[in-house]
Amino acid sequence: MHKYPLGPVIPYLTLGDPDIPTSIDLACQMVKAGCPVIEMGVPFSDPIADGPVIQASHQRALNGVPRPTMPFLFEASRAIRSVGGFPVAMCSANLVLHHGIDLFFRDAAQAQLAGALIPDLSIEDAADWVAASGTHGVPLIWMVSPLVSSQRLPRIVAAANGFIYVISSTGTTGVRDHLPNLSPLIQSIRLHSEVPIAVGFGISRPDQVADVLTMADAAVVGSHLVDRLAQGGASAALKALTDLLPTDLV
Amino acid sequence: MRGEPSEGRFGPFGGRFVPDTLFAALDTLEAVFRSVVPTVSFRREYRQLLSDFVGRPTPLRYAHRLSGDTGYHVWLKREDLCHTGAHKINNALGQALLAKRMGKERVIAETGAGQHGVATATACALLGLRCVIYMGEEDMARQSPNVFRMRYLGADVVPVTSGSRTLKDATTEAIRDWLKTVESSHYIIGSVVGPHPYPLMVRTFQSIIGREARRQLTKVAGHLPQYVVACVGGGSNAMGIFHSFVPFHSVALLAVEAGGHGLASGEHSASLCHGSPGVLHGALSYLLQDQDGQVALAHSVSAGLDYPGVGPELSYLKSIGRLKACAVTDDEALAASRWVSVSEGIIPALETSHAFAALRTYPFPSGAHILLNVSGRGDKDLGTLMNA
Repeated sequence: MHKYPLGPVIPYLTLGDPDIPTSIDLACQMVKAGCPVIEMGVPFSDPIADGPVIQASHQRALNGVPRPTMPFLFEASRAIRSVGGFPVAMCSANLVLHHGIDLFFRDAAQAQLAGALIPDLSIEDAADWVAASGTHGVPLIWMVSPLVSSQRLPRIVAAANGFIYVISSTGTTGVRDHLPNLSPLIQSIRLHSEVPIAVGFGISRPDQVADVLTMADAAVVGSHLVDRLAQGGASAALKALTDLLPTDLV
Repeated sequence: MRGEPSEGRFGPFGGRFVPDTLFAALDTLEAVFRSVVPTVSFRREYRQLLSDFVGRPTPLRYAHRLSGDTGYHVWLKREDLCHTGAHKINNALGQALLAKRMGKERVIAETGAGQHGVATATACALLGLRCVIYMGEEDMARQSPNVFRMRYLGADVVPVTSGSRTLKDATTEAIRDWLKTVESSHYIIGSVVGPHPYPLMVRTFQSIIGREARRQLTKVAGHLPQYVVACVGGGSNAMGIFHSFVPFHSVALLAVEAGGHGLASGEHSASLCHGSPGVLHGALSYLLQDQDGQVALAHSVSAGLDYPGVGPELSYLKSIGRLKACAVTDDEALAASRWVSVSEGIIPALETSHAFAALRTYPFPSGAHILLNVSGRGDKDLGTLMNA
């Protein structure tokens, strides 16, 4: 079982938004600001699990030159490791399939990627992926939603490694006012496993982070940071992140 | 059941590449589909609607002039005579009935040419369901009569402005809506694409086309066709007419894809001819993608074929050699539209015109008996035809 110090907040950034060096440098600064795990999204033309803010971010990244392809993900991974961070890739299934499942996990291992989160991969379709992940020692991070069935949850939890990503509400990524009560889901995960739990989708305020931390190990913050980055640049995104961190860390 | 996918797969193709949020809904949908569709009461209700609302069985007609022009025997399965003008209504009605059985009060759909949108809006009007249709902005411009038709039937048509503003992006937007509203809404996918059980379910509702055609042709001609020809975007009319013939190896299946400006131009929608296996909209299938695995922008003069993916069962049939695929260009399809109009008195949809064009471009043996699916009529395309 891979375990990392999750930190209270896991920031999400899109590789290549606004450009590749800026996104990698910002990730490293976020590690130094107290967020050891960075979720680095590899932009995809058709990200079905993402809302408008992150989709627009993917589109900006894909319009950049050079394009943020897999080799740049591995470059980002090495850079984040070099400052003591734990880079986790968020990557649509097709990009990994296109690279080659086994080759992706081999390259990821060489780049010391700390995990791969494939939002449109299901445990039922993942035999080859789980095998490659095991062979090369790069954990697959699984997502579960409050709508998960009682038959599926144990399968997902049994395969869990690194951490489990709890989707805090139905819908796509994006900022929300209210988060649903996730305690029942989190308790059933805890029943089956000791794997750390991160909660994401819709978090943008310190009180939401504090709420999440009462029941889970970390809060994932994506759209809020991506939006701040688009509006005010890297310094604004970094400030938005530190504003979310519990005060004893800042 | 013949052609049943194992674990939601057709060979290696298909599957459920979707976030966990949709799993419970797909499980429920599959359970309802498997338990309800075979029941006497569902079949009676569905058949009654197909008969007195859709106008089934649709006729099979021998195309004298096309046969004379080509030297083949061309038989037309007239899905263009279905209520709402295309085969799409067969599936929309079946799924709308299922939505009612599941207690869903709201229906979502994507549409390209607008035929599936119109069919879904029609089924929802008939059955008293709320209806939201996602449609790419570009498609709304080139198929404006259908936009009006959907709205007139009481549906909300939501313009999609992301990506290529066509069917691919409308589908992505519809899936996003469903991720948010899955507990109250049913998503009626219009083609044999998407996560399991959609490809199986849509094919099941469309397979009446091939069952009727096989019976009709056997009755009037006394034999099976040598070729069954259909245009393919996602592939619902093709799987609909192919399915009954898959076990008969004397019957060749020909999928005609949109060659756009020509396969060499890179501007086409020929995923069976030129795609490679990839994941889009929840299933593994042949997909047009670039060297980085990004989904390529498809192109076709016909909005209904303008899609970079294709159904997983078609991918499987192609991969095992049971199905052949070819492509015809925009210009060949437009010329075929005119040819069929003046020689047979049928203005086919631009999608269907691709299947007709293959009669002039594909090397069928002389005298071949060809069954061609006239998937839809061309009323919606008059704007494009006027400017062509």
